[in-house]
Amino acid sequence: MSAAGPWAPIPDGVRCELVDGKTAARHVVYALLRDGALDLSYTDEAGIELRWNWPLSHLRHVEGQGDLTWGKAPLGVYSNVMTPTARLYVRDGHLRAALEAEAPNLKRKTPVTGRGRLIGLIVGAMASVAFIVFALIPLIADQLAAGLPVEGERALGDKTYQQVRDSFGTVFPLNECTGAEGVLALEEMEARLLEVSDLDREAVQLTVLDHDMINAFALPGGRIVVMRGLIEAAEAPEEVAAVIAHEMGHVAHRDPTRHALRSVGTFGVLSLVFGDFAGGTVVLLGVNQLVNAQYSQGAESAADAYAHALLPKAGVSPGALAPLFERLKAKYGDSEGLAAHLASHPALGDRVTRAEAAAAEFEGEEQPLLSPLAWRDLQAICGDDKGDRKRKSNSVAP
Amino acid sequence: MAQLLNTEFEGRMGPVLRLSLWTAILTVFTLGFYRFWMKTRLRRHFWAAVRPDGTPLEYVGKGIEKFTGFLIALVVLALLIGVLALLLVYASYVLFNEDFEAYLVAAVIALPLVYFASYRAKRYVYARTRWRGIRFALEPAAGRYALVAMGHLLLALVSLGLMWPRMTFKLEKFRTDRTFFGDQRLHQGGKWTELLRPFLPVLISVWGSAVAGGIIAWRFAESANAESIVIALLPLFIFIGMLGAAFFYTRYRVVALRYLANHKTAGGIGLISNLSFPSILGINIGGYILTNLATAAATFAVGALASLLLVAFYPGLSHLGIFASGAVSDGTSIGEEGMPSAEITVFFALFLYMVTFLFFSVFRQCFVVFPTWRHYASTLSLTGGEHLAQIRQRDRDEAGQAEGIAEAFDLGAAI
Ligand SMILES: [Zn+2]
Repeated sequence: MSAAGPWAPIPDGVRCELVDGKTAARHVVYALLRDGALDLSYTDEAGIELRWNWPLSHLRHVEGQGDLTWGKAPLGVYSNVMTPTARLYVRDGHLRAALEAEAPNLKRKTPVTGRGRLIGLIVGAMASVAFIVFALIPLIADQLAAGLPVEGERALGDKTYQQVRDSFGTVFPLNECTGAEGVLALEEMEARLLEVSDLDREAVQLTVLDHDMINAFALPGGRIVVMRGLIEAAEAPEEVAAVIAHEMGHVAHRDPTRHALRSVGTFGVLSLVFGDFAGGTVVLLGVNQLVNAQYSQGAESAADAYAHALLPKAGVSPGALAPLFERLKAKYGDSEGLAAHLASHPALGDRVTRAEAAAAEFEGEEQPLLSPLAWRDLQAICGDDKGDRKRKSNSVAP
Repeated sequence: MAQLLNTEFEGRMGPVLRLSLWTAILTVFTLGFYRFWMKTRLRRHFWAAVRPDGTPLEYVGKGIEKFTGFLIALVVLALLIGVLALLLVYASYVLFNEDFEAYLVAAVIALPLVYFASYRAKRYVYARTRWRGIRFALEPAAGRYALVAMGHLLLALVSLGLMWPRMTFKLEKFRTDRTFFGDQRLHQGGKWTELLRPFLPVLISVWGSAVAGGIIAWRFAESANAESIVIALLPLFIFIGMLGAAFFYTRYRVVALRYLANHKTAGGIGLISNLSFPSILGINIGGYILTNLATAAATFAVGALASLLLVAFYPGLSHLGIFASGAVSDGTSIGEEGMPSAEITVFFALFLYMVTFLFFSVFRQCFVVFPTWRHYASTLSLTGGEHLAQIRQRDRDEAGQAEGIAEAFDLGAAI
């Protein structure tokens, strides 16, 4: 190909390949290593003989191509820091080994520029995302929650309810407890509490789920879920009723709806940040949020106040909550799960004190909320065998 | 004399597996933030394996570029996803009592964005690809591309899929005609009607099963003695139709890719592709079987290790043995004495989920993407190699925001 023709004398040095970074032509070049530099000589298309001199200290690896192979043999790819688009391809093992040994700066990388801009960008992006997640989304969600019609709210609640059941179930969704007598007892309790509340007859729907957690939570649209663990941990129907009254407070204040709308936005953004495209994080965190809903301290106090006002009207002392809390505290006092969870709630001790204070003002006559028979039915709502089961327990305060 | 230059492929499974496993581990331990560097390192590796005429391709992108591009896109998308999704879900519940419509509207909004982002992503990748020291480039035209794509998509929809091959061709031509190697513009030749024939089996499978299903439902739905066997066969029928459609669509993709490659030119230089559909099909079937087996095995191993760790800290779990981490992430007995708290439970569930997810991508990288890449490369040749000497270098295209939005959407997840 070259103008010199096949009869031209072969120059000194090792046959390599060179691209000059200016055209896409690849030249056969003869490389000679001497005096700490690489002499490269070749003839270009125009037949002009060219000589390049690459000091070994200018030689660089091409990032990611430091140890390429060519069949079994190594293929050296080098660039020159002064002509960064030119490439020398060395297939000769001896020359490559010599270069690897003698060129001092092969692994040096081009310095990172614009470090200040980068830091600014990171800080700015983090601040913007934090603003969106912690200020903008809650603000909008709160506004929207106030305007959501009841049907929409209920549909949202049904959807979140399904998510909770699906994620807590192992293969099938978590069982809904529907023992006939138990449901009657539950409905009786629901009716007694609703009767004296300012909520509509339809505003609240009680459901028991078959799970060990000592927990109850409210979902959008007024569904209040009581976990079996809570009924088992309670020693009287009034204790369960007190928890439900607290959750009714959340329903009356539409806390769950606000909360569910917030998490729609928040977890979408979070999954974006962490690059989780399957959306598993969203579902996992979202369900955890629903069940272990951590409303603000203000919302919790308001729900407590609601319960303290409601319970006496149903003939239940507001103090009914206290024994359950105290037992939980005695049993789990420093257990980390409980302590960690309560950190976000008004201090457990405070709640007990306030419940007792409210109880002290309670002057009406205490009436049993359920007959002993109905209470036993409620305890067996998830099936008889469950009632005798080893008492399991859990962290989550209502 | 027309020089024919063949493409060599120099890469083995071992190094790919090592690299992708190592970078995936780094990604897990940085809560996903290493993923930009992971992708960059993998690309360098994949590019360097492809050697047209013995000279390796080069990928010169940087992880930090991808990271900053992502940060910029993140702010825009956080607004879009956080606020817009919230508004849509709200509106959907107000109007329809469900959130299906919200997702529908979101998809319609997202569609042009996807095309926009994918074009931008391609522009960045081309701008960071070199061969023989010469840069590739894609002209900036992402907005137009998204618009044009929407038009074609609408046409394909209205024509019940008949215009789909036209979209395939026109979009490829849009991109190819804006692609440069050095100062040489590429050109997409050929005719879209040539793609119609390989696409027909897809259409027949889809519409055939739909029409047949419709007829069966209509004929037998009201008949009193309900030909239950025929009705029961309906899902089977639809399943076979979909399977056929998937098969023929894969074939269409390969045939179209080969046709489009064979009609690309860059001045006097042309491409010859001998892509084979049976090879691609075999690679995909075998590759995905291997991927799933390996993912299951690896996830099990990590789960068992995590379980040992858990049991060491929470003796209450010892009866669960190596299944402890699975049980914990399912929320079994949270908060009991000697049992992990709710936070640890959620953490473990997230960890196992991330691990499964990453293992899958690692093994897919090795068993599906890598062999596919090898097949693509080794069946590709260049003609007119003597014209390469006339191609000159071009200036660097900053392609500022790298893959930005595409990164956030994980478009072009391959590499
Ligand atoms: Zn509360």
